Amino acid sequence: MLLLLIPSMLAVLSVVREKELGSIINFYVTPVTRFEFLLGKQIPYVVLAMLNFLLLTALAIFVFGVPFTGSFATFAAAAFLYVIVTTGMGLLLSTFMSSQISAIFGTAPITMIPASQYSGMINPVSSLEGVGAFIGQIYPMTYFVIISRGTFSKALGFGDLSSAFLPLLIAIPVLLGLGIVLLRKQAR
Amino acid sequence: MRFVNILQLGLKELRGLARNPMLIVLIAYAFTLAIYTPRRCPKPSTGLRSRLSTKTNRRYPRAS
Repeated sequence: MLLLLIPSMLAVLSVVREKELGSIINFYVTPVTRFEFLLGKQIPYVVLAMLNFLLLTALAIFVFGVPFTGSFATFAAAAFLYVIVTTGMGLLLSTFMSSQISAIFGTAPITMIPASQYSGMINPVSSLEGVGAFIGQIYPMTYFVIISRGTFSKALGFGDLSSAFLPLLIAIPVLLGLGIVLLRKQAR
Repeated sequence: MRFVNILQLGLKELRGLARNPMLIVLIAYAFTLAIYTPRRCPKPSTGLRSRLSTKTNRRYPRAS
């Protein structure tokens, strides 16, 4: 959940801070494309989130003594895709927001509520119904939870968890594409 | 797509992050102490729960 909240919040803040300070004008007046702008904003936070992922995994294994039984490469690959998705969510949200306060107060519930209620962390997604089940099925964290449980506790590898990678892979171009479409290259 | 633009934007972002030490401290705290501290503190309910479970085990040995 931390890998969802903090990277998306940082990504939102990175764009919204520029809007507040007025330095977004540099983006408007230079020939940088929207895709380059979003990717340039996303990559540093993906790197930072991967460092945080390694830190969290080390804490779980070495400090709390959680046995890691599966494939670490699978887990790391899933985490890489997942942090791209979470930062992409942040960048998508930043296109709607114009102040840092709204960015923080908007991002926290938008990311945390589906993550805690519908992603299978507390109740299995299969036990949900209606809109809750739909959110659970399309929310990327659901699949990261499946992969992390599978690699930590069930000694699973890529072959067993490949179906959970597909939604993460689909979410990346969808979020980035929406971000590109919704980000304005001109001020209103 | 020009990779130089993406690289320069990314480096600018990292420089901006480095100029904001409180944000770095907050990130470091969120991923280390914020996780470590609450998990390591003894919870007041733990003793009660263990006492209750011991009682339950004694009364219903097969239940556990």
